[in-house]
Amino acid sequence: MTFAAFLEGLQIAFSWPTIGWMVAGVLLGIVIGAVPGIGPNLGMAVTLPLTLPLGGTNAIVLLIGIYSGSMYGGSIAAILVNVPGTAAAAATTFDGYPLSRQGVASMALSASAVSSALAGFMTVAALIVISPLIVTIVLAMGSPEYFLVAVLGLSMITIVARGSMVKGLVAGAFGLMLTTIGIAPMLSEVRFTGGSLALYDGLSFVAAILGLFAIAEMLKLAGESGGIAREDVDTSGSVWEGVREVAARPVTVVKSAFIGMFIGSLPGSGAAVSNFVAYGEAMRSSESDGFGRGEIEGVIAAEASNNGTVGGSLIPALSFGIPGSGATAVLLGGLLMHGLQPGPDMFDGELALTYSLFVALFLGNAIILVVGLALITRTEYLTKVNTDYLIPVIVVLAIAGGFTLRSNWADVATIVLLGGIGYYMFEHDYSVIAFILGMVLGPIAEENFTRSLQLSDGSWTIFVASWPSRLLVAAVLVILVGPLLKDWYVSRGHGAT
Amino acid sequence: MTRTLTRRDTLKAAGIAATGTIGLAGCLGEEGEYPSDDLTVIIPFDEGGGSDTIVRQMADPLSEELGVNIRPENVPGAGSMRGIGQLLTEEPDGYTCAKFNPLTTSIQAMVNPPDFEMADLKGLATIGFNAIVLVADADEEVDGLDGLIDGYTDGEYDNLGGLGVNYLPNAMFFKERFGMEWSNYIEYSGAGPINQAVASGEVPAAVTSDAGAAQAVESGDVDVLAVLTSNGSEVFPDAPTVPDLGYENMDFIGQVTRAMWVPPETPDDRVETLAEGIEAVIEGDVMQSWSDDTGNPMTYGSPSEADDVLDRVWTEIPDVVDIDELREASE
Repeated sequence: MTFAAFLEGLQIAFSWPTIGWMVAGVLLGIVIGAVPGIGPNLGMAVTLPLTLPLGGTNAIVLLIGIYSGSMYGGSIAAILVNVPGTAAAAATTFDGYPLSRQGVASMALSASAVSSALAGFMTVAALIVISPLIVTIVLAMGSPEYFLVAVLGLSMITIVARGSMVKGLVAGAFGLMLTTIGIAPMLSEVRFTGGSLALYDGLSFVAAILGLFAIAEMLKLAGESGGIAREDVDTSGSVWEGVREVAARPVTVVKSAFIGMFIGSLPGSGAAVSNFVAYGEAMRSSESDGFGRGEIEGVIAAEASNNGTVGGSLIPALSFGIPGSGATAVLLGGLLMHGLQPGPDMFDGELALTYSLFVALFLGNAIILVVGLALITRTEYLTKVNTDYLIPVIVVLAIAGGFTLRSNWADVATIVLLGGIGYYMFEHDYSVIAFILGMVLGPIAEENFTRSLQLSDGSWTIFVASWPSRLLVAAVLVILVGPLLKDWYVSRGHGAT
Repeated sequence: MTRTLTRRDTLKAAGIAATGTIGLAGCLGEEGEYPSDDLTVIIPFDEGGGSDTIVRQMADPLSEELGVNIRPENVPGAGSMRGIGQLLTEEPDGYTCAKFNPLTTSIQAMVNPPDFEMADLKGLATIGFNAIVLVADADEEVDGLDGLIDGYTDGEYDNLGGLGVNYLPNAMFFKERFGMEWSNYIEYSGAGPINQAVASGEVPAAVTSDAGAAQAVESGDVDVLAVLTSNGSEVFPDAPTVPDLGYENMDFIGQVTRAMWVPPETPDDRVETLAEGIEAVIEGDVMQSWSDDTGNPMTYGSPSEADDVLDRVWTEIPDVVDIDELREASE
């Protein structure tokens, strides 16, 4: 039954025009992802009504293509001009942009394309294999587990905040505090809005990211002359060098891809979280101390994780209609619009259709690879354009993109204010990554923490009641206490050589 | 003697001509055919949600029917209050309307009162409804609504789930009128998370919409115990309604009516024109076949029916549920 459904899925995915819609979707997605502020949510939402004349499968294949393409597309502006096209590419800026400054943007872009595509291949293949078990897996996760994943992400602050730990924690706490603005999740309490409806839903972290990266970086560049690629470096990075760099780090690619898939499968988090967690894990496990200054492994980890997230986010979306992120919420809208009801039946009676979506996603990654290597690496030229021309364009794009997020002027104010704050954070070595982690994970942690304690009537044992919870608690302890134990072990002379 | 036109004369003439044109345009706007400009439909929710899907589905046929473009505009936030607030400040010229259900949005406004009166809205049409249902974890093999209430009384069950604060009045009604002794009302953010929570046993039962529960019921993970409106559910035609089971009627909070609204003071003739167009679209092939495909019943109701639904919500809920208690229970 499962194999027959898989064959039928293959047939659907390779049929015409379905395969054509996949190609169109991925190409469109790359463009949508590359333009700051548009992102997959808005791009897919705008495309949604246009899919009406298409059949259900073709429409969904087109939307999934856009989603997947935009995950990769987001890295382009992140690497070239430090503006993450999507929140999922925020961690890509940390090392991708320094690589552009060093004149090797094409190497970073090709590494991004290869790691994105490889992660896509692996996670979709895994998805196809575990399809019959997906409903069981989803049912094993609940509010306490979601809370612990958020804590796991927050504990990454201790890894990513290089330099002063106090400054890292202050930056993380500042991010967390900003998430308290708006209606409290789970409690109908309005906090720090000053009575303005525009602030009821809190600050947008996408707007925060646009401010912290795009505006702050443009403020910094305004004090320099010439292009982004510094004039004292030679632009010798090659496309094949990027491919070789990825091939030399198979563990990072696999690990990041599956971190992305796992986090994507949890509601509410998505690629905006997974790229940081994968980046933090790459930093933790690497010998290199060049992270944040142009370490290619950072680009590979972030990019592998965000494309891995796409497959993961389809798990709760298709099995229970739970959107893992804004993009999957629009995808669910597409399913409903075309009369397809997400639910456990997608992995039973409708398995062939589900397989066809997975196969189409697999093919989409091949397109990312080809387009990424053959065409996108040419955009390196942008790093040589004089910043006098680049700065106004990026500032306008970031602010206009910010307004399109929710048609809310509070988002524009967020971009401008955090642009200024981000500039000073950079100048005084406060970790921007820690800040973003606090801001992205705060609401997820608060909502699931409150719900978990409501469920257990205030008992904290709910956080160690299941095996997934215990594993997550152990992972948090390893991250928080592990380095201290290691230091203690070394100081006792055991680690001395 | 001929007089050549000076630059000032030319400008004056151009000015008179321009004024004339504007005046004429104004006259055409007043007397001309309505509608003659784009119609904006405010959706106070995100792209991809239920309201968004329906409006975008209606956009093409409605555009053909009215002969103007339809522009869906998502103004999400503050539990739909931003979008509704925006509608109330729009010109009442018949070129802006909004789509949202009056029940859950009113509950949001009761819990977190905005600085405008929702009851000021003018009804345009009702376009369908979804029954609200009480579902339980299939593994628990609950013996109907009676069995569930007994389970709470015996201490076998403790929590009850539901969609945000929206279905809290239903839960409070169960407690006060049916004696269902749940201890905590657990809020979830959508029908999908509710299905997962019930199917996984995180909560034994939950209040949700019939369309939202459809797939989980079909797959056997979740059972429907009762439909909360005496009108029954098109999605679960065989499921018993609350009155069928011998419990007090709770229609005023038992179904979510999908409706469209215009700003107060919108002229009645324009409301009528729009309503006729909406009626034709709702009863047309496109929406009816979509309704059949998705299990979302689409039926038209007049502007006064929309007004009635809103009036009932604002008069009956405070009669039955203490709003201060509701606010307290949600905190």
